[in-house]
Amino acid sequence: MPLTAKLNFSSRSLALFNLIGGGIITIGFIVIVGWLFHFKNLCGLLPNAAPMKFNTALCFLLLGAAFILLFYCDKYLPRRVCKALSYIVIGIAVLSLSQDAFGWSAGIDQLFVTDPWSYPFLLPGRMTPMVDFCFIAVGLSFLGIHSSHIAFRNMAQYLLHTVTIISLVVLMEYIFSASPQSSRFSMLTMMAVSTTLCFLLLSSAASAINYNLGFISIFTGSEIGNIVARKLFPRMVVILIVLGYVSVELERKNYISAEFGVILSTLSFLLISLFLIRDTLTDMNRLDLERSKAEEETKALNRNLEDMVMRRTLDLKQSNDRFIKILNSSPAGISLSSLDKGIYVDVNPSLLEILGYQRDEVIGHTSAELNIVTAETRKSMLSELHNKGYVRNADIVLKNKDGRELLCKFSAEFIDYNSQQFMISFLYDITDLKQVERNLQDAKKDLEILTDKLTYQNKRLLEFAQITSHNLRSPVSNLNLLIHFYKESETAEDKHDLWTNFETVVQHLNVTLDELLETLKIQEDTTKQREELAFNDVLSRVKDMLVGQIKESNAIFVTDFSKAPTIRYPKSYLESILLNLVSNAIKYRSPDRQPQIKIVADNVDGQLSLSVEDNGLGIDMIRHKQSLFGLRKTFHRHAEARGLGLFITKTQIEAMGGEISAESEVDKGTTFKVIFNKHF
Amino acid sequence: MSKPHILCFIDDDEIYQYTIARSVRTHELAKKTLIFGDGEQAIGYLTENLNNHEELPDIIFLDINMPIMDGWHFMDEFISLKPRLNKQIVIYMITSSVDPIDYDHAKRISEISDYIVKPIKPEMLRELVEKVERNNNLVN
Repeated sequence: MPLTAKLNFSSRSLALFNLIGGGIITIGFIVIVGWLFHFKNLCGLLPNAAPMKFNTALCFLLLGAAFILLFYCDKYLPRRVCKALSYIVIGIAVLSLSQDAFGWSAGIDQLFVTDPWSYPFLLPGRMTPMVDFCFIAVGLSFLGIHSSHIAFRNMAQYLLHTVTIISLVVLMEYIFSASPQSSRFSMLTMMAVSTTLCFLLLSSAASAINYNLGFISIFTGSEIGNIVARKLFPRMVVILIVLGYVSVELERKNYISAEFGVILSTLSFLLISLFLIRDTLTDMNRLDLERSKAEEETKALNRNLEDMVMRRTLDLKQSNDRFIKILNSSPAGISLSSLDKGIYVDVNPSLLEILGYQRDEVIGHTSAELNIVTAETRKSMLSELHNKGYVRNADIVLKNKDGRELLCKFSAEFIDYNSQQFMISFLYDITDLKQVERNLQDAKKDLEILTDKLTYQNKRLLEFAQITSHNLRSPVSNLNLLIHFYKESETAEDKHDLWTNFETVVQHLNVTLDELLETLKIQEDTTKQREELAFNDVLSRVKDMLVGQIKESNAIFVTDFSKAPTIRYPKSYLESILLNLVSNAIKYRSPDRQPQIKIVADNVDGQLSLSVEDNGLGIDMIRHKQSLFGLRKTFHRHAEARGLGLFITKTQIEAMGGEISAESEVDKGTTFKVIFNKHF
Repeated sequence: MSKPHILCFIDDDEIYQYTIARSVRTHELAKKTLIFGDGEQAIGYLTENLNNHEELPDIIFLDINMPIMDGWHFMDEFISLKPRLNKQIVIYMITSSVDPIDYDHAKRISEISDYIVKPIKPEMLRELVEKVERNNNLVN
């Protein structure tokens, strides 16, 4: 049963209902006690009043409990017990009524106690038919009061109203002291006064459960009509009862005639009604005034609200205008696109300018459709956006309408609009900037190369100064000494002898100067013409030049030019370099081994290199590392060692931006390695 | 005045060798003159005559730039040979190098008595020899 919603009474109402239920139970209990101990006054509750029957008291006891349980019917057990109690009461009442209807005895009238106070025309202990009816009505209404069908609930409500009216009628009879024996009508309605009160209480209280149904709804609403009803009805009831009583009393005491009594009470009722209506009218007018005042206040509030809304709207519009201005004048390309498919919803002029599109070519389309961005780029940007919640200055490549690639800085964020998620993105075209950056970098690189070149030109100049110092000083100092001796010489023979030495020194000086000039020439001529040369061709020409030595030494060549078969280089230099290295390898061969010369060309990341490895005498590298490539440095006592070849070789290689280095082990062999384009 | 010393010149320059020989001869500076074209030859001679007092030189005039074994290499070999040598030998470095690196290098080797830049005239050579003689006399 869907009860919970119906049972949301306030705790105060609930307490009142419990009190009523408890009161009924108490009355029933007191009456039962009265019967058991034969206190008549206790059974009638009032002195000299007719006693409530034992069975009636029992039924009230059960109904009182059932009434309380009605408010706990959302739980299973109370619901079952409440129903069971209602059924028992209905059963007792039906049984009792059937006795009257069919004139038989079920033996329930004096089942528990004997009834010595019954009226002579009634069977002892038996409840009157009206009481039976009322119990059946209340019992049935308790069963239907929580029904999910409105029809059952309505039925329950009207049954309760019926009981209320019956009990009111009986109560009137008591109040007007109408003799119970005086009419048939009275016999049917005859009830003990306590019973009547109990029914009145129980039925009106129970009808409040479904307060929006039946007559009770007239009094429970908050509309103005309900207020009037609540105000007028109780007063009118009281007035009618009082007037009725007074006129009945006066008539009975023969102060006035019956007709005059009716006229008197009617007139009095009209008069009092006028006062009542006036009173109610004043109240109503006051209420109406209050209501219209409240209405005015509401209207004022509304106006205020409208003003505020208008101001807000204006503010919003201004801020929107500002936003649009920012959007339209921003140098960044701004776009709003749907998150799921990337459909452009809005773009600013800068974006259109960057990408070269018209506005209507873009709106409603996706970047993938227009081929602005590759699927991978979009995917990676989206995943970054989802991971971090934003993208800041990511470098991406876009394509404009002409298909030209643009380097851009890309930033993006989520934005909620109409409860949908969008991506707002900012784009800066940095293609030109990148170009400038590249140019700068190129210029920087050029400068670095120039610095490199200058640095080692400087180094070579220093070396050259050393060479001049070393190689020109000694012949000059020799000349000095020879002149000194020549001056002191006395014999012609001695003079001749000295002259021969002069010639040697001058010759020596001549050779040295030639060598220095040769290196100077190489150093100056750094722009020597390069041409495409095959290492294999150059080597075979070198072998031709050295044919005699090769034959004599029986040298074997192992070559591998597969990784770098050709090089752009000055032909004479490459020949000279290879000639020097190969002839050195043969010249300084070991007498114990057949000379083997391994020549390998390599290309590592564009750096072309050539290594020449021999199995000759080797050089003590610890001692000679510094002077290996110096002028006039020889490391072997050898007829042909002039100490010139490696110096020229180094000069040529360095003039072309290369580098030469050597590794060697005495009596194992030497490896020279040339990197042709180390510096530029 | 008889000259007590054996002089030794280590230099690959033939003209220098000639001028030195001539200076020694003219000024009668030595009892005996030894001339080697490079350090290796000189070390070979010293090793052969380790205990031969009469054949070991008193003064060595050493060049730096020589093929095979240069002056510095010779000094390394000489220092390792020195404890076994039967004679106190004075070494002068005579070179055409004006490189400050060479000069500093020579200064750091205590066995080298002086660093002299070529050309070396006969008078200068005589002074150097006589300086050693004076010192030896003082010691004696």
